[in-house]
Amino acid sequence: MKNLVELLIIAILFFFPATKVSAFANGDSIIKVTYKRIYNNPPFPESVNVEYLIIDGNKSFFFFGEGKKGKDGKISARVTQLKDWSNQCLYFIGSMYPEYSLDSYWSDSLPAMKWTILNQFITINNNYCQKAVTTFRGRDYTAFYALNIPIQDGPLKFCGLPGLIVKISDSKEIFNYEMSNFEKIPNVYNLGIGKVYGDYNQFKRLFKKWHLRRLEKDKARREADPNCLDCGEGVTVGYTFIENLLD
Amino acid sequence: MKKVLIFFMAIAVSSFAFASSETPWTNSILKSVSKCTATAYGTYYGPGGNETDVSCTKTASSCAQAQADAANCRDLNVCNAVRSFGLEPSPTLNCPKVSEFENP
Repeated sequence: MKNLVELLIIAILFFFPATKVSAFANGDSIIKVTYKRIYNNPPFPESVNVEYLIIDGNKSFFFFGEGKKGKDGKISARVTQLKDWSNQCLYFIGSMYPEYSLDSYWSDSLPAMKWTILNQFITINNNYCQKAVTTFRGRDYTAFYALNIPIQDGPLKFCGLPGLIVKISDSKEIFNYEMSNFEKIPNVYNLGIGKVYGDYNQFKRLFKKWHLRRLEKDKARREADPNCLDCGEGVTVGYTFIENLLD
Repeated sequence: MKKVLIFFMAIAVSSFAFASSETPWTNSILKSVSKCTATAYGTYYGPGGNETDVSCTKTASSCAQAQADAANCRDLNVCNAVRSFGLEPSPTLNCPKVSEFENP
C-alpha cells in the first residue's frame, strides 16, 4: 500500500510538468498566467489589479489591463516587462515625461536577483510549491514557486526559480502577487516594446534627477503662489517601486 | 486714591465690554482657535508598475472645508502624476483613487 502511494505521488509529479510543458510544444499557442496584484502601503489606499504574463517561446511579456484589439484581431498592450531569454536580457518600461515618452524602455539583467531556496513546501491553488527568498535592491521578497510548472518566470522582474512563481510578496507586504489562473491559449497577442534608452543604473540616475526636478518645480510654484492648492504646505508626492529606487 | 479706584473700575468695565462684544476682530480670533486639519491620500499605479503616493494635509476654518481642500489637492496631484508619465487622465486609468479622510 505504501509503495502504491509513493508510486502515485511520483506519477502526479511527472504528469503535471508533462501537461504544462506541452503548451510550449505548439508554436501557435502561448501560456497566459493571470496574477492578482495587491498594493498595500498604509496610509495610502490599497489598490487591487489584475496583471498578465504571456509566455511565448523564449520571450515573456508582463502587462496590466486587458489590452486593445487591433484591426487584425490581435490584442496589443503596454508591456511593462519583457524577458528575452534568447539574449538573457530584461527590458522594463520607464517614462519620464517629457524627455522620455511612454514607450521608453530600459534594460536589466536576467534574472536580476539571486534566490535562496528553502526546504519549505506549501500547496497554493492545487500547485505544490517550494519557498524561496531574495533581497532585491533594498527589499526582501518571499516567493513560492510551483514544482509542477517548470517555467522559470514570474510577475514583474521576478524569475530565475526552477518553477513558475505562484506567489510573491515583500517583507512589508507592500507588493503582493498571487497567480489566479494558468492557461494555454491560441496566440491572440501582438506584443512588443519601444526604444531602449539605457540600462537600469542609467534609469535609476535619471529618475532621481527627474524626481528632483519635479520637486523644484513644485517649490517654485509654491513660492509664486503660497495658496497653491496642489503644491502648498503639506503636499507630498512619493514613488514606490519594487526596488528602493530613490534611496 | 479716588482716581486710582476710578482707573481700575474703567479697566474692569472695558474688559467686560470687550469680552462680550461680537466685533469682527474678536470673531477672527475665535475662528483661528477652531481650525480643522484634514489629510487625504491617493495612489496612482503608473505604467512602469510603480505606485505614485500622494498625501495632502490642509487646514481650514471648518472641517468640511479642510476635507474638501485636501481631497481637491489629492485629486489634482494624482492627475499630475498621470500626466507626468505622458498620459491624460481617463476613467479607465482609475484616476483618482479615493481614500478615506483622516480627521484630527
